[in-house]
Amino acid sequence: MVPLLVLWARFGQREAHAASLGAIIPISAAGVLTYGVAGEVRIGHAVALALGAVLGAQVGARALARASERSLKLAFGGFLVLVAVLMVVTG
Amino acid sequence: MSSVALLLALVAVGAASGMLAGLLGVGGGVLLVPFLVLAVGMSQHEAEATSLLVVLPTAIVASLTLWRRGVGDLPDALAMGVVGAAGAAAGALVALSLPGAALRTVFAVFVGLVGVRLVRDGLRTAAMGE
Repeated sequence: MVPLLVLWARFGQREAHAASLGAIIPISAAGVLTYGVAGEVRIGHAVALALGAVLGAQVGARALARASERSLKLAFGGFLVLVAVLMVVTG
Repeated sequence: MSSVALLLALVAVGAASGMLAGLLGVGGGVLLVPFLVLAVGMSQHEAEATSLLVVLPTAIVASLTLWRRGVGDLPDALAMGVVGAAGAAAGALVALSLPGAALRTVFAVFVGLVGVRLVRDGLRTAAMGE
């Protein structure tokens, strides 16, 4: 979603990250409901992970609000390259 | 892994994925799913389902943090997400009709090219001194 917003819709990198996070709310809610109905969600593990994640999210979002456009592009681009390499290696 | 060690590992990995999610505008599933499958031993379906239940509160907290700082437009983003949820269903149907290995390769190449382009843009901005 972030690359589409930046390269196609010409969003700034920071605004694209923020828009992506907001859009993930309804998307993940729909996904959780679907998987929840199928009985696949491990609630105990999710609660422990979420405990760390909501703390980490505040740290990350504060850093996003301050970071420069350039460092966000480098961080996000590097992250995508890493994901692509991991997908090929573990595939 | 003992249950205390597992609990600590879950909270720590959750914190790392939350930071990544808040900074990069991703859900964090890309970190959570491999961890849950490879280290915790969940099935792929369980891992994806569980990661979504972590991604939801992560995205809510990160969005509220940004909203308070005046970054982005939360109502617009939520509307985009509702449309995106419909698109995701359509995309999943297309993906299901493709062989897994082909889909994975196409996706990896796409993600890799976009990543290289963003890094190049970033470096170019740096060279110009912004």
